[in-house]
Amino acid sequence: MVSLELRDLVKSWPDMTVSASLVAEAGTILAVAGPSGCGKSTLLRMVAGLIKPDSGNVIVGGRDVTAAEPHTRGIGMVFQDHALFPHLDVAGNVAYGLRRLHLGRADLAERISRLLAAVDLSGFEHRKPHELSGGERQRVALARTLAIEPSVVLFDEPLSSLDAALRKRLRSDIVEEQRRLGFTAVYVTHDLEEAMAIGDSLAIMDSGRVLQCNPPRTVWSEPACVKVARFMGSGPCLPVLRLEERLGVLTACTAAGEFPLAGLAIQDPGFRPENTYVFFERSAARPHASDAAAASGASYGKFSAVCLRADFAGDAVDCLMDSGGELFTLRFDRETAPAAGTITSYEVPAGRCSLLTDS
Amino acid sequence: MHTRPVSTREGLAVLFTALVALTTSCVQKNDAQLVIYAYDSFASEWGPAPIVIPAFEKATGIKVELVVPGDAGQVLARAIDEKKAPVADLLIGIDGNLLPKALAAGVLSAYKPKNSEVLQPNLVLDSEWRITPYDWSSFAIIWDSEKLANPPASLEDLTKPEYARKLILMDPRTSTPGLGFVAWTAAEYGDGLADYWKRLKPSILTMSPGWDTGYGLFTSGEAPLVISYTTSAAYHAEYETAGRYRALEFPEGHPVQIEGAGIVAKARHRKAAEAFIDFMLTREFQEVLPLTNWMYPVLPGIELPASYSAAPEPERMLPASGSGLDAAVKVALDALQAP
Amino acid sequence: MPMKAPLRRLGVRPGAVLFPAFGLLLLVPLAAAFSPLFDGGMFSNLVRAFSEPRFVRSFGYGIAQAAASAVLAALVGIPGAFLLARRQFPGKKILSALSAVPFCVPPLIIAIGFVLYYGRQGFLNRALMAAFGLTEPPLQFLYSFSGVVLAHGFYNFPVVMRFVGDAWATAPRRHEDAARLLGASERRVFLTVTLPSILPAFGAAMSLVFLMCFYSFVIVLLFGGPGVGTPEVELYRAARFEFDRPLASAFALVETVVAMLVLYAYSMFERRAAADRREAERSAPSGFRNSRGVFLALLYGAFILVCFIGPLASIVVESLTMRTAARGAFTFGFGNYTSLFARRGFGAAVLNTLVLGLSSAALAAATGFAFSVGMKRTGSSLMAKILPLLPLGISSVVLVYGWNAVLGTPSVFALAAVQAVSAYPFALRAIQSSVGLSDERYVEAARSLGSSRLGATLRVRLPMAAPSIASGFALAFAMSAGDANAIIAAPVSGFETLALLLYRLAGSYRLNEACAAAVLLAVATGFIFFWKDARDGLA
Repeated sequence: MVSLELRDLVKSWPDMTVSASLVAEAGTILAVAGPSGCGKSTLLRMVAGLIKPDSGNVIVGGRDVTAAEPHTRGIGMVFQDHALFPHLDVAGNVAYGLRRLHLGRADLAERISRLLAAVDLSGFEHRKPHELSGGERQRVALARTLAIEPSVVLFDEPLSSLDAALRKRLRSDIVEEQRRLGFTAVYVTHDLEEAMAIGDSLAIMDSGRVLQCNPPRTVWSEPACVKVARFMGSGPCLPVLRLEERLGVLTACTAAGEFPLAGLAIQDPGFRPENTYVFFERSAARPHASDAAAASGASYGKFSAVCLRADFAGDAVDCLMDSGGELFTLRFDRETAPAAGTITSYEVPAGRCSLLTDS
Repeated sequence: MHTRPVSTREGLAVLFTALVALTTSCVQKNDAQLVIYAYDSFASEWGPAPIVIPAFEKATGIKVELVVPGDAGQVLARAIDEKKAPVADLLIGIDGNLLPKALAAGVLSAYKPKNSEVLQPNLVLDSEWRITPYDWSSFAIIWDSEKLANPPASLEDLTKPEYARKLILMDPRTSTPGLGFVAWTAAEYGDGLADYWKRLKPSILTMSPGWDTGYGLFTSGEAPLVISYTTSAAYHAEYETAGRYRALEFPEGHPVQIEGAGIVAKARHRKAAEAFIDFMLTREFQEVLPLTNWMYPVLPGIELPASYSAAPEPERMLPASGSGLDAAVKVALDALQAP
Repeated sequence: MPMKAPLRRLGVRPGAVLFPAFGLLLLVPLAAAFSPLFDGGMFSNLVRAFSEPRFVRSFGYGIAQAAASAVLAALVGIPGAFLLARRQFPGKKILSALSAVPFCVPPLIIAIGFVLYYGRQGFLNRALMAAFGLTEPPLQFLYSFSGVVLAHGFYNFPVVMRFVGDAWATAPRRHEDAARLLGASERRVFLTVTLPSILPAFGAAMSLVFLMCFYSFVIVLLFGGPGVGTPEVELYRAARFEFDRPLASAFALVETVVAMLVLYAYSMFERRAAADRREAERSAPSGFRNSRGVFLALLYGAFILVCFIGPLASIVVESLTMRTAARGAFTFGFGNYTSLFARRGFGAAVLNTLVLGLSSAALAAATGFAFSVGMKRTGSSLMAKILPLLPLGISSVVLVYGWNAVLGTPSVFALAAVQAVSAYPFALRAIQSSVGLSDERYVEAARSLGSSRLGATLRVRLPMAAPSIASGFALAFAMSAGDANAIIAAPVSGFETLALLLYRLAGSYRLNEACAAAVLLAVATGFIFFWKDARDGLA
């Protein structure tokens, strides 16, 4: 098992620059997510060697492969829409990368059938790509890539053209295959749910830059900046109007709330609240229980909001809230969810609030 | 893909304009009292038509509609197509080679012009006067004296190795001078025709589809010898400097091309057509021919322009005959195409 | 009301009306042209034709030269296709606009250009003789089989370049990358991935070039060496000099059958290529990777400049050359143009060119649109595949003769019909790639909003396809403006176009003025192509 490291990789175009430093630990899956056009595919192609970076290094298992030809990097890639060769049958596709090995006819056939069996496609050797279903194509593409026994596999939105149910199933196939063979993977997608589910770590990209790279849970609950929080949709970002000392605790005041910031002090005297936001997870808020709050004092942030709409989401209720003109969505238990039209005070444990900037 | 919607109205407007333009341009006036089919170079602005047609109209008051189906072959082909309901009254440009076909098709009717007796008997193509000759010339090899020092002196000389790739001919399948050259060789060699063409083959640079292209190649210096008319030398003398391009006279004699006009059988305006035939044998018409059609007038006593002194009148004329030519063409082509 | 149903069907489906209407435009003259075949029995006429040695010989020669020409066109065209598709460089628009040449420059002009340039006294030979002190012209290939192949190959290479270039530009990059990552060398990537994806377009281009060369006339006769014959030449001879209409029809029939076989191949290729065009995403061409690439591209550019632009430039030079007195002496200037403009009838010729061009282009674009809508519905019967392409396999001369037989007299209508029919497969090709794009859902949406089927077609499909209809229209216009075959075969009295004027000038020993007319025509049609490219975002 080898790790993959991208060290200050930069590629510039007149209207766009992609620059990134990322690490995929050996035997793990690094998911890269971001809106379309954020440069994630470019990043992947630089790793594969299909685009030459302007500067920086690609390091596979400690070996610098920046200058190496694509096929000598030990990297395989599964493409968007799978890119199966339409004029070759399944066996031909899978065997494409095996040519270098100069196998005998029988050995080759044996190898192909083993690979196909691994992806549950035994007996599909002589089908043409257009005769396969979306899921079958995906598995052929995987088998084709795995045939060359890469130590790193890159996935470029491999599931984007499939329907939701199939996507879920195939993504677990990919994880299963990865755990079994132990390759290191980079998985690029614009689908956040997919990225969180599949990634051991998750990198969020925007406008050519990596904004954050952490385990998905961390990215969810501790976004590094407003952009990440907004992209994740994990909770509201309320603009801070001013910071005040209350009872010796630094408190952020928003349009309709106050959030004590435990353990924080104003470091920079020139601190300006304009680009600062209070963030908490969307499920962290609950309706204000009057007596308990009085007792807890500074350990809760409070805000009032009107519930504009309550959407039933099965085991939870998603409510569209308006707090001092700021609109956001909160997720409640079915029991505690407010009804549409009610104005209520809410509280959030101070430990789950954080300050974000939108630099 | 970038799509700028063009409004439907805009598109329909263009369509409509085009169709209106089309229909209006199809409307033809048909108040003519004499319909003549003539070949293109006769009718062109450099040909005789712009001079002789208005003259005829002025003299007789007959309105002429001049139709140009193409070259002489197309004139006849169109007349044959329309045999059952003729549109044309008069065909101009039927030469000795086309005549047998015209007669076989029965598209011509006889008319002996008023002063027919002044014509030399050897110019009369048809004793029944279904065709009236109006001009003639003879075929000759034209020589570019700047590019070639020693010209050939006979048809036989043309086969010599020193003339390899030096001769431009026209294809007998598509052009009159081409056919004329085959007729010439057929008259000279008879049964030895195939053998002659086999020997001639290395000398031929190309056989062009028409006289115009072939002669164009010749004047741009591609080869120093070309089949054309003796009067071509006169053309050069008239517009350029005399002397460089000369018509070669061969002792075997030169085949004559005689062009004639004939009245269409069942013509709608027969009287007018007869008047035109008569007009063709007047001085007024004949004098125009040397400098427009570049052919000799058939009427004796017409003074030739000075430039015609550059065109030698061959001493020996071979009679013009179109019969048996198809077979000769086949023999010549087979000889050329044989490996 | 049951009576009304078929009528309504007609009313709402433009394809249902235009399909047969177009069929009539094509089939009526065709049937008329072939009718002499039945004079004295079709079978005996065919037997007679086959027993003529020239019959078999001409087909052998015609097929051989057309095949060799297509191969040369491919060899010259493919590097250009690569450059157009994959590289960004100055002058790209010019290279791309060369594709106007085979469609819009009359073959006679090409032939003249080749003589002026490659001829024994041509520019190239004179330059070489002067440079090396030779007394004999070193390049002697022009008047031989290789001359024919050379002229055809160079004349038609832009067809290959354009067809293959379009496919190459849209060849799926991902597949190539996949192959690279699977360890394929660049050569293997090309052979196993790129090549299969451009093969349909390549096949289509090759069959088209084959057809165009198969029907070529002037170039074959002029350069083919003495006495060669293609079926087209023999047809002409039989019809025009032997007045043997049945034999001519037999030639035409067999010629058309050969062409149909090629057409069938073309339609199969083109179908696949068109599907590829629709699916493809166009990726931006890149700059050159290294100096070797730049060098090879420059080498190719120089080759095109010397071998292809040279003859074209000779025509321009000739148009600016004024011969005076003796033919040896000349000066340069615009005298040929001024005398051309001053020529009586020049204005009328321009106007007629416009009228004829607009009419046939309108007809071609309308049928092209109706067909591409209609073909989506009717599916893929053999007839639906071949019928729209039929014009490619029938010489316009045959159609014009057919119309004359039907109408009794040549007319501008017949000319427009013939030119529309000849240009229409290309208009269709341009239009098809877009109506396919405007997918059925838009029409369904319009119908769900209360449009009739006709209304949906007029208000949704037509505006959506408008840019490519405009392209098809422009293409058809350019082709029809440059074409003189039909009007030479059946001149209409008093109706002269620029192309015809050009032929007349060339035919009356006024080569320089003819070249000036050719330059004007080429500039006008070339501009249309250029504009069309700009619209399509290709250049």
